[in-house]
Amino acid sequence: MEPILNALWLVLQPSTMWPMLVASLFGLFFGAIPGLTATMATALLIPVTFFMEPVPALSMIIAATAMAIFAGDVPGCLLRIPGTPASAAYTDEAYAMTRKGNAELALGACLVFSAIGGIFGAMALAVASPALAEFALMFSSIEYFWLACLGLTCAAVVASGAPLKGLISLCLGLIFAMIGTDGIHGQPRFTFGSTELMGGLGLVPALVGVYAVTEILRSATVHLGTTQIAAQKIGSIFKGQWGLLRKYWLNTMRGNVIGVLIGALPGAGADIAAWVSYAIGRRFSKEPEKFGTGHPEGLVDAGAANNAALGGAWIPAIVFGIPGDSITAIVIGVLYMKGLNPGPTVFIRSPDVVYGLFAAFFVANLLMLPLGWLCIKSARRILSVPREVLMPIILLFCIVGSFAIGNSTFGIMVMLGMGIVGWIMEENGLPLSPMILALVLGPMIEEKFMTSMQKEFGNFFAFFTRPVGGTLGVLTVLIWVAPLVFYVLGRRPVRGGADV
Amino acid sequence: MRFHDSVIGLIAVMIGGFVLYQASAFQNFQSHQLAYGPGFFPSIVAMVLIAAGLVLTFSRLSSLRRAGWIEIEPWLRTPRLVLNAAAVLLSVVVYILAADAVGFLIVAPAILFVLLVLLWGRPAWALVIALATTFAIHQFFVVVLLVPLPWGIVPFFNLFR
Repeated sequence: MEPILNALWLVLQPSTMWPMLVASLFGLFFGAIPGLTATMATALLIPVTFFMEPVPALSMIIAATAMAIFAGDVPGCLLRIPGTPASAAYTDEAYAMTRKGNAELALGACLVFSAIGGIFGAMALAVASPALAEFALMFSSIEYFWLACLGLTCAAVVASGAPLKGLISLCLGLIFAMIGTDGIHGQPRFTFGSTELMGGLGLVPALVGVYAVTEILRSATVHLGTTQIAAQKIGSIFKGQWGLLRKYWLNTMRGNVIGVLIGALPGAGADIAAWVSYAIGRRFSKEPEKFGTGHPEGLVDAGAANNAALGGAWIPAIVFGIPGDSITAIVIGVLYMKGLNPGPTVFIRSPDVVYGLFAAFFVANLLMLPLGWLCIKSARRILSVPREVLMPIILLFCIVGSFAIGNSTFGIMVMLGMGIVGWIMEENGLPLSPMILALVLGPMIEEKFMTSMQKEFGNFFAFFTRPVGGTLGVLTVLIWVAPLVFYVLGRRPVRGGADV
Repeated sequence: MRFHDSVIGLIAVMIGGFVLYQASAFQNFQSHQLAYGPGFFPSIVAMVLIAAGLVLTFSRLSSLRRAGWIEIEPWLRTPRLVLNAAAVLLSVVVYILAADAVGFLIVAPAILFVLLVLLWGRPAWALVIALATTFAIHQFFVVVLLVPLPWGIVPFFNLFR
């Protein structure tokens, strides 16, 4: 208990609380503006966190993302446009409630159940990660190798929806990660004579490019129309929430658990958690016919799930160094920059930071209630800020941020290059998150693979001899082989079979 | 510009081939312990990429004739939107080329102003926003975070230091 109280004290210090408050407002703004996402907010925060102590830096990211995921619901309720992809699952439902004159109830439900989901996610993180870390202390390079492979496989196959394109995106990420000096042999690879490339692409400019520049380019190629807010006046948003909580407590818990589990699954984040939780909520509802007509039940299910997923995604990120979603992929980059190499030993080496992080999750989700209320009350003003003005400002911020990491224009070049790559990939239906996960995990996978191969004198079967490593290995290989088996089986039968 | 899936597969195969070729040139280690050189892992990734590319190419080949190699999206036929995208890209290029020589405090408001006018209109407001944003970013990064943004040619701006 004492470390947690110490951590809470650390987080409540002005040196952490002020950055958290600023990051919260930043996150609320980014979440509420359609087209700006929680991931983009995180990517833009890294150049700032680069100059800070670990606890305030991570607290800023936690606060910004929690607020952004909630705030994404606000334009969903008022404009029928999800502010972030995590709100897309129930935007129609929330808007239908607004059309029925229940905007206050919808917005309040989004806020209250987001906070509950976030707190549950934080609890899951605080309970599960130390226990998992103790177990993970027994892991060797083989287990880490298979875990990272499993994570990347999940990202490419489960999360992207298009496994082949996910795999291509993944391989591209691994190739980008190999640029620079090889960590084991010290050989420069794919540097084409450039001394700057010897140090690698640089994670921060690459992430800023992929998540921010890609979005700026995308928005430059569409007509951004003006929007009409459905609700004229927003009254008391907390009225009726207690009743909803009592009526839908089971949905809340189910949404929380689904959120944490899907969040912890590498590659799948808050958006997928919301979709799955909404669908399950509908499946088990006593009134499934009301879903889609402005019924708060789906909002409770999905609203709790997407915020719980945030905490869930941190579990594999801290314990194994394997990100649960694109936000934690960026966080892992921040952890490495701060010298806090993620893994089970981080609990021994830097317990203050880890417990500080748990405390920051609780504080951020409690802060969400008053700040979220403020966001809803000023929604009309926030939503009237034209995106055409925001995008050039964000671009300048990206440029300066990419420069600030290494104080060189090379960072800006990487940002631009990766922005163009991300844009072309997105235009062609290649998912970005497998590439980012591979970019983060690439060096770790290669290092674990090579050290294991060298340790075992090239005997590949050694990858299957340890109990945990072997199980993970078999599981991963099964996931790799399954599509082939299904493909072969699917071709054999009968006419009129499913179109593969 | 949206390429047909078969073309995307082919591009993946070409990238994989290039990586494989490059990897083959990496130094090889002959000792028993280090039998797997720096080219080993890139070669595996390249082979997976080639395989994925080939499967994608052949699995979508049947629709290639109907759909065509490249689909030109509507925004590419709208000069205004093409100009917007080009302006975003060019503004970063201009910054990279000019910032060191000319200075952040001149290049940043200039590109911001041009982008705001192009994307939003309202030149007077664009000028105010461009100057205010540049000043705010400069103060935050240079004064608070101590990032050495380029000063360029105008020593006068050193006054803001």
